[in-house]
Amino acid sequence: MPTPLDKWQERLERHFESLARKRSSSGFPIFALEHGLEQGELDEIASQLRSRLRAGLQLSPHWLSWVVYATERGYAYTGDEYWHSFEESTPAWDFSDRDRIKPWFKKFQKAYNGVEPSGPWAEHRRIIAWPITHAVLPRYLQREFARALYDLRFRLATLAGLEPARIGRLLAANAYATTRFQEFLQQEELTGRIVLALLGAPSGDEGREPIYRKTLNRIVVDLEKVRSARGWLKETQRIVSDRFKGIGRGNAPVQRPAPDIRERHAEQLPRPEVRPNLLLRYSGDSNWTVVIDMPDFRGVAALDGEVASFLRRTRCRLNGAPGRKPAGWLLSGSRKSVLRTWPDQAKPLLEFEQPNAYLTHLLESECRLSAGPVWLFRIGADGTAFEIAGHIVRPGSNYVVVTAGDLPERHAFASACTIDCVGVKAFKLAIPAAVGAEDTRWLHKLGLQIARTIRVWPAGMPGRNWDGEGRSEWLTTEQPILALMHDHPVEAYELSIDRGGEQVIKAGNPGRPIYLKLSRLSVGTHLLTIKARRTGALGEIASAPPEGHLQLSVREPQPWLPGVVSHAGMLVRLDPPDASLDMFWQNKVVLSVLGPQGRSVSFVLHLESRDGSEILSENVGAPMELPITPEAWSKQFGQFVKRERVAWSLLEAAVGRLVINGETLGETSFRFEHEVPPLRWVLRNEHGNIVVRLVDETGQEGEGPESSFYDMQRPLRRGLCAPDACRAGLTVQRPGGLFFARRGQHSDMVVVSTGLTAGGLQGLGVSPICDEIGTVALTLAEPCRILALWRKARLAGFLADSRCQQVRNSIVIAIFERICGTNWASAESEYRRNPGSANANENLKRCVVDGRAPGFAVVLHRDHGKMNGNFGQASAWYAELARRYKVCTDPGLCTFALKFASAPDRIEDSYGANLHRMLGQLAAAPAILRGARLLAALCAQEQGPSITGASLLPRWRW
Amino acid sequence: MVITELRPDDVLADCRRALHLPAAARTLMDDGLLAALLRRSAGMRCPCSRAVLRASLVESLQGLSQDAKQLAERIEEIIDALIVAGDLLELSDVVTDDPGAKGTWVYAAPPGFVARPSGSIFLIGVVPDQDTFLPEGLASRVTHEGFTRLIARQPGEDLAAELHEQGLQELSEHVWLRCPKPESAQEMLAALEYRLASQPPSGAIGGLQILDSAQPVTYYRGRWTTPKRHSGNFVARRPQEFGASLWCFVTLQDGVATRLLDLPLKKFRWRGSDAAWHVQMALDRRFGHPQLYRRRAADDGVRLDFFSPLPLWAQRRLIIFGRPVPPEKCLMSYLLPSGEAKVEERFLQDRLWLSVADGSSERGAHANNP
Repeated sequence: MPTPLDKWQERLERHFESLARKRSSSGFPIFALEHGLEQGELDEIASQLRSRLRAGLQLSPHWLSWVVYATERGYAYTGDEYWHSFEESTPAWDFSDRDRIKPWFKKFQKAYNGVEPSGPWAEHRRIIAWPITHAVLPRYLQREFARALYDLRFRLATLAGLEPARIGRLLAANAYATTRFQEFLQQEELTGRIVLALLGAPSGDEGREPIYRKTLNRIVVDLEKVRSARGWLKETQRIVSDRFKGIGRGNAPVQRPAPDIRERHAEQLPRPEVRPNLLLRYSGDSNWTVVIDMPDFRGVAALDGEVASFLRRTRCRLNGAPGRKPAGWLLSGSRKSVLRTWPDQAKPLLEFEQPNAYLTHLLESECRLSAGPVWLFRIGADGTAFEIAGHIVRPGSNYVVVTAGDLPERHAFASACTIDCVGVKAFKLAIPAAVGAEDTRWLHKLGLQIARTIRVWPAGMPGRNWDGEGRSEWLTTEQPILALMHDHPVEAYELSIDRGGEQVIKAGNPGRPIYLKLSRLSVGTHLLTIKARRTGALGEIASAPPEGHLQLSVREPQPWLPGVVSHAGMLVRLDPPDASLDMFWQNKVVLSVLGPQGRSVSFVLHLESRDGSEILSENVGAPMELPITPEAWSKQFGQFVKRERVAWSLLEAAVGRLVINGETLGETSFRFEHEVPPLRWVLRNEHGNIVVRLVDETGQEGEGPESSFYDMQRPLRRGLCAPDACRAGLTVQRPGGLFFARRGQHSDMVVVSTGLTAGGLQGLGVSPICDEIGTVALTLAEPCRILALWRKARLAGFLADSRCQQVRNSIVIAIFERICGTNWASAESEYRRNPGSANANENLKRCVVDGRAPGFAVVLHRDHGKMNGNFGQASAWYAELARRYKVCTDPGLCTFALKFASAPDRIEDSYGANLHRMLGQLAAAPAILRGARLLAALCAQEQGPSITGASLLPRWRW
Repeated sequence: MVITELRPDDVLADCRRALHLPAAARTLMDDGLLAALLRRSAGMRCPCSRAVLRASLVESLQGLSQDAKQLAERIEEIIDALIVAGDLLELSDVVTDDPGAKGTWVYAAPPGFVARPSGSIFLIGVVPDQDTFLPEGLASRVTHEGFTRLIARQPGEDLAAELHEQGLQELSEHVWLRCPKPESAQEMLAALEYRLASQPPSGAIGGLQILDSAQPVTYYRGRWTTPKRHSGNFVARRPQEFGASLWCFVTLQDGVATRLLDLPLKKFRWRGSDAAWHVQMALDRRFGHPQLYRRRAADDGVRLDFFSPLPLWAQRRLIIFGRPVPPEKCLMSYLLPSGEAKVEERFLQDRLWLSVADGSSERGAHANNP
């Protein structure tokens, strides 16, 4: 006899009341997943809930059971469609029933201090955000979660305190992961608690645990079932276990809002070492090139999610280097750049395109050129010279001295050399084994000192960023070992770190090093002070300084991230670094690969569905020889996506992974995700038929989404789609078209291409008819709006790209024909077919003002090259010409005509509500548009073949 | 803050512990330690020149080795060994953001592995901040054979799949054993000499050192000399202002260079030294005194001894199918399982034009022939 649903409801109420009572002092919120039920019990409840639903009985008495039921679906959520799987497992669930879910969860939140979804992701999914948030760590995020912990294991092990929010922030800042996972990590307090629980942090008293023990065990068991996650989790636990042993949880775990980001930056974020290394590279014929080697900013990114995101998305400029560095450059493996101009000392060595308060502050104070006006570089055996910030020269060594002032007077140590850098001069300095008093004075005048006679160097393990004289870098996992050697009698060394207590170590014989091991150091910069306690004989070298310093910069180790080539000889650049799968598919991603000539690189594209199953795994063409330019990649990928099988594969893909294999040079992979907006069209291939279905997760009340369809053959004719039909799925008829949906601020559009339009090759294309323009049904502004939809839409299906372009060209031609007239349209058409023909060019000119003011068209034709420069100036030139030839006296209309003539698909973005009025003015004075079109056609033709070639749209920047 | 004084041996023992190396059997500063230290240095400094890599280790081991000169030579040899083993990549003509930075640089190879026919895994690669890129469970199974790192497969285990999961890149046998196209010594020399002849006159080259083909093939170092009255085509090295001397193929007339062709040729994927050693093998074959190897039967296989360096692509075969062993009265030695020896000898004879030395044991070569 099964337990009645009422009893289950009562049991759940008792359970959550008890949990809420115990947890009330801790401030931890409660998750519906903390229900404490076994799988069999969950099945029994689910079965009874479904029975009641089928029977049409009231649902609200068992609201808590429904909360648990919905949360379980949230736990099993694959990241794709919540409602689809919910409705499949819940027969008789009606679309309108969705609105019940949110009030039940709100009730839960109020009654038991339940967690409340927050952040942009939750704001855009007002209903499903509840069950998914209450699922704590849905299964589809578990693998990424374990991987993120594994990548951060060293950093977790060295956190100063175990505050959940701080741990969560660390995780969020380091998530090189999917968009959704990054969004999940925005719940810093929650993720921090999960981390503490998973890694075995000391659990508090009963009720003070962040997550109900049984629920946590369930998540851990599930996590361990996920591929590799078990190993990652165990390894992370091993690394951090010492840290967690015998340590309290830091601050009391009282829930509080995350501090304001600006406040956090100002007061809480540390200031990691970001001082670049300056070096000179010998380029032959006594000439040197200045190179800057920027530090890895991953340590900076790890401090804060906002900073990490800023670094990934913002380009930067080096003080003294030409051009800008791409977004994410400071996080990449290769961060060297040539400086053609000596850096301006008044500014930091690096600046970002956009301001960021924390980074600006950091760069202002930490990322500067060392003090001039003289800079010293010691020449290594391979012709690379490293800066010696301490200005110390050593007998027997060679240097390059860079100076902003004049070169010194002639001296036996100095010889001429040149430096390929504006603003400074250089000379070579060869210090002999013996340096006399006169020479020492000469060096002092230059601001240089002869080295001390006590040498220090990293012993055993080679030093990281060791400059040979006093600066070195260490990791928190290391215990520095240093060697000390003197060439004169020294009795003992007095050593202290950061001016703390002194420790005396007996010195050995001259010429024999002693070795010292330091204990582990915390993150930051430390100063080791070494004082020589002299014997009487030491008085002979009175010039030796009594104490020396060694700067030890200590940082966390950076984890190795698979798929990211760091130091290998293959450099892959992707711009933008966070492109969506659609953007990648439309070949809008700039990709280049640099490396040794003669080596080949292969590209493999993997497409996966949301559940991780592979849809496609194919080589993108033949291996390509290095270096690979963006143009070469674009051509190869363009051919790849045109293949029919490949094109269809995209339909059901959620994730694309491009693996770039350089064999021994390494392997790099990039992940592209389909954006999953709350309102979206999804596509499925059902036995050769394409079915398009509208998914609405906006959770907005009121009328359903507005949806429409534009056929490729009639691309301006709007067909309405019933909301229910869209939700159920529409079979796309050949040749396909544009599906558009909008609800409130959310919208989505996709062009679906399917089937042939006729037999033979002709059937590959489409023949759009656009005769609605200017009719009562369609004002002039409307085609521009629809044209913009065709431009912005995602593309899906075979030949979608070329067919969509055909549609766009047809609309553009029809719009211009409607305003400029049929004579003009014929003239443009003739010019498109044969742009080199003198007749075609003459005809175009003749049609601009219908035989009046022919000089206007002649000047435009002759001087059309002016349009390729600054648009503002070109626009003024055009307006002046129009005024002079009495074609138009309104400069604003002239500018509009030029913009419209070059980009009718973007004009709505600029003119918005004024578009209708401006088009009306243009229709009343079409000659000014024809003049603009003449310029546009000539410029487009000269800019070479492009996807907009058929409609003759130039690439003017305005 | 605690500062502890260490004895030199303690420093080395500390390094071994930090680098997860087993306690030393004979000497603390063995090949395994030097290789691990070089990997660590490469993780910090690469891309850089060999000289920088060597200098970093020479400095950190200063005072810890009895013979500084010998130490520098050993480090140089182990850099070569790590390049052969795939931990380091020596690349020429690398196109980077800075067109002026072309040259030959050493890069740290990304973590990867090669599956050996025996089922064990040959680990390669270096990462900047960690001495191991594997989780503890796998890292504790890594064994060190000289400069190489291996993991033995456990029964029923899919080790390759596990390493894939950890993000390591598998290099297929096809990639690992890639070598230049097969051709005869005469074909190779004809093509190269045609290119050399088409070079403009070089004029005299200061500091040139040549490999004298007239000298015995069994003493590699003894073959290097300063040109005297030599005439003909020679493998040579010419000094540059900074960095290691460059490999080249040169025409001499009475000891004076008249034409010069730098090695490697453009788009050749291996090192200049690999190209040069292969050319010398062809020259020795042409002159009728091919380079030799010695075959000796050993308890656990066949030992092959070499008297001249082998190109990287040939050494990689020997590492995968066998293992390096300490050389005895030769330049380098490898131990191969008896079953593999015959095929590898055929490869050495066909592709490197080597001959077996007189007095070599026959057992290994015919082990598979009843």
